[in-house]
Amino acid sequence: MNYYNLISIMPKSVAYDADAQAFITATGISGTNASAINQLVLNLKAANIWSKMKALYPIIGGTATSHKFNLKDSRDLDAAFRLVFIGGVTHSSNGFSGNGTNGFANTFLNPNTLFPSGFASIGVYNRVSGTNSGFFIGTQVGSINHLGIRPQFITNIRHWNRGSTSVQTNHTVVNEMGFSANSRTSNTLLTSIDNTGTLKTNTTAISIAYSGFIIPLLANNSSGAYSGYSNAQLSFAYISDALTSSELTSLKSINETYQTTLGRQV
Amino acid sequence: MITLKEITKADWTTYVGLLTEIQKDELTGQLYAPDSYFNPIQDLNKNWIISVEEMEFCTNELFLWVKDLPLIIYYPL
Repeated sequence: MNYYNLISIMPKSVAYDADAQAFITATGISGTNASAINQLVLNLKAANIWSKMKALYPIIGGTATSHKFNLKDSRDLDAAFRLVFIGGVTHSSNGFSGNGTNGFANTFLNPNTLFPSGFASIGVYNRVSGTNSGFFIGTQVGSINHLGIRPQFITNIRHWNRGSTSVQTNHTVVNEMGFSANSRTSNTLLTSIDNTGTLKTNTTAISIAYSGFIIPLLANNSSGAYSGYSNAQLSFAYISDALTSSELTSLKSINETYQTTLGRQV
Repeated sequence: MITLKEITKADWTTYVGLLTEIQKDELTGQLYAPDSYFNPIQDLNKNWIISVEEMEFCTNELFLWVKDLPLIIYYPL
């Protein structure tokens, strides 16, 4: 066999996007999982959403060690907003689940510090119905400075993004499964999106800042005390600069493609 | 006294492991598995407790004794 024939039958290495490759290396994922991460990064960049992300958790690989990494910054550091799991959290190839008793994930992300301008977006993808009305994500100071998403009574999802607890949007849904996200793009515009793609807005004028307490996944951090523990199963979550309504719609679609590639769409 | 060996997964949301004050202090800030920390909390009756998941999935050799904790029914605050 000559040199050229030998080269043609050698396994070909796959060239991934550099940001995707850093995450793939950190998590140790391979095969379909690695391809899905690469495509997720490419799609986010094509939609001009990637640069707005501060913390993006693709929740892939099936273990706490692979689920903890932030796709936007794959260093194993608190400063990289790498997750740490606290209390009863279980992990599988479908994501990680809280126990509704004391389990949550610490992001180490302080919204007040990271978003001094007061404009940010948060979102999650939940795979189970019939949850306990715990928070998917949330932080607040007393009844104000609230940033969070909480399903209530299965058929209602409530969104907060700066302002008092009463400044919210409500989505009536079949169940709490799928994509939920919100964004504040101005002091008079909170926009949220549900799994059907329906957008809701709240135009109440607000002036206060974000909570200065770290925002967790699967719980609410109220002035440093954790409560509202959720038994949801998350397979995607993010915290970013403010996204427009069209960007929220694009992100929902990109995430659906990602989840479908992994066979865990709901 | 009910223990971890006597319940099924369907019971995990019903029960929690009961800690003494000293055991609570020992577990606080400690890993029960890679990247996963114990989180002792108080129930409605001011008992210090951890979840069944923390007991079941504990692989830290220093704290395998949590698997033998007595279980009580969980009453949230």
